[in-house]
Amino acid sequence: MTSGKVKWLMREVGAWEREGVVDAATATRLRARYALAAANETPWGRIIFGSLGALLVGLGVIALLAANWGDLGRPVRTIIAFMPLCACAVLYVAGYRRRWSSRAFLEPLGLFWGLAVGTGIALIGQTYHLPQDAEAFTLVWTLLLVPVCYATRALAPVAGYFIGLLIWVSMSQLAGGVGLWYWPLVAIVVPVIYCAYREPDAEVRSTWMLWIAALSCTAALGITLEKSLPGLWMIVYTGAFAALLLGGEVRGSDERGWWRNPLRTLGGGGLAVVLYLLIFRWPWQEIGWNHWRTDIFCHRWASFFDFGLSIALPVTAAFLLVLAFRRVPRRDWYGVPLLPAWVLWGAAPFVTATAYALAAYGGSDRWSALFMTFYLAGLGLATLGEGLAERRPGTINAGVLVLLAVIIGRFFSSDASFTAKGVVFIICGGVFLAANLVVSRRMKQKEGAA
Amino acid sequence: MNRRWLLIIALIGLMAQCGVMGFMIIRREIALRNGAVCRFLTAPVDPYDAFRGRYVALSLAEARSRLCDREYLRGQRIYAVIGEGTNGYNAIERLTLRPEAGAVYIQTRVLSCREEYRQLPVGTNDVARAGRFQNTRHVPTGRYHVHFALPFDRFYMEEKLAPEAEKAYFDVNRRDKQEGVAVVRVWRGLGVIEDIELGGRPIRDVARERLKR
Repeated sequence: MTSGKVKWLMREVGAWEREGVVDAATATRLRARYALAAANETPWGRIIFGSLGALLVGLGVIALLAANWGDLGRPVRTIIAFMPLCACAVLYVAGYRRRWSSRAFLEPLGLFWGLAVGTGIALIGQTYHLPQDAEAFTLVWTLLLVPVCYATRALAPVAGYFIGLLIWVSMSQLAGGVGLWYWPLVAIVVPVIYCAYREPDAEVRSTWMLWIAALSCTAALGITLEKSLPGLWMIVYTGAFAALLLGGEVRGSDERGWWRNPLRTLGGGGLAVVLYLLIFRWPWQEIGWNHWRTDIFCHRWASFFDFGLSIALPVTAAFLLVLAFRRVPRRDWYGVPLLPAWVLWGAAPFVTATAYALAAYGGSDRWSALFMTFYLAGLGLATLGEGLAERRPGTINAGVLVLLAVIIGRFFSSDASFTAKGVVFIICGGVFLAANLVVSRRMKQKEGAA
Repeated sequence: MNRRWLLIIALIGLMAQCGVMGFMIIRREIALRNGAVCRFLTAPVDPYDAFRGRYVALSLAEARSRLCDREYLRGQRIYAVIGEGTNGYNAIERLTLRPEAGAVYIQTRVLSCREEYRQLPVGTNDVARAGRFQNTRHVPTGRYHVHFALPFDRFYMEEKLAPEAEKAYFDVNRRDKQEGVAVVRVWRGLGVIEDIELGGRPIRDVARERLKR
């Protein structure tokens, strides 16, 4: 709870006591409890300014050393390479002995420690004229961040670890290497995020960590795929996003809001974007076994990773779909059983697989694109319907947005006249505004009745 | 996780970090002390690295491609055996799969390997005698062009000296065709640049003199 909310509550408790709503003993207990919550509150201002200070000092050290003090000689430069690390060690041990466990101490320390490792390696590279090997430099720096992540559990080194791995795997794949090592390396820091998630006062930090991890893993998924079988990414990505979305539904964390639930938000948003891309014809061209990739950068054994994911992710999505479906209360409309909209979204990998088979074996990209257009339009309608039924403006807007995207996307790629396009856009905008107006009125009426 | 465990993790991590850096340093120090001296012709130019500062990029005259009798895989570890060149400088003699005892070699990796093809005319003997070929066909020769990386491409210098070094190289080269020479110490497959020479003098000294003028 923020300090503002605690202050408000304290004022309210005083008023309750005066009005006799609560007795003096209860009021005292409430004051004691929320005084403790205020004391445990994360000092964000101090963390941000401390981290900025550490960042500036670290960057300053890098810039100073990059000036290349040629007169110092190798032994002195070697000692200098270790000095930032030694400073971190001294600070950490001092913090341990004096019991400095505040985030305002650990967050800047984590940031500076991470930079100190990079500075040390860079100075050694400078002293011994190491060849240009950005891939190896990034990997070594990133791996040496692992103990920093565990020791400080700070956001900056965890973010640096994920970003570093993403940069490394991108360079490795561009150079024709295999990026599959990314996944076991990512698994090394997963316990840090899990520990932060379990900490009672680390909700903001763990949410940021989850967002960074989820975003970088989503990007890395596309990079690490071997792409021997063209078009398989569609099934893999829809499977991954559907699994994330349904995983969020299984956890039932709807009440936490979209930002506090990164996996569900990313799953839903990512699924919408990928499905939107699939309503066009270009993703369905030249896919399937007939276009198997056989250039020198192709590693045949690594293709099994793609195949494994294209089976495992839809199966996981199906499993989560069943699990989530068993938890939701049954609803019907005039005796017709109604499915929640996310059930239809969760079926995306199977629908995509069907369209893929159609394009790969039928050889026509037109029918697959049309199939996906109808599917996405149906998803938009289902989401809109659910929003209207439950009177949730956010869901209604999401549904209308999907519908609008389908109409605009298909219309822009069609040969229709500008007059027709203009009329359709005005109608769509009108529907969008009308839906919002109707729901707002109904909600006001409901509030008035309550 | 309790505090004691966090401290243990932090200390192990610090030891690992220092260990990795120490290992990098010790190997190169041994190479600089005990390695065989090799000299390669090079052309220095002056770029910039955000982390490690100003350096002169080395463009070795030594070709980084060899014609081999066998095929290598991309990324495969190979050993470039260094021999004496014709003009007093060293040159890459051959590529091997395993380090050769007694030889000076640099461990490297295959960047690419392409089969060599020879053009053959398509036609009868009469057409060949008349020299009226319409088409040619490509026949594999059974040899392979192996492209590999040499681990000497940068020589770090002070930020003011690096641009002067580049200018000095171009001046000297224009005047009396003196080449830059990379002096490299090679020890058990590891090559470490000891110095860059321009007209027989260390490039740092040449650049410093230019800066003073």
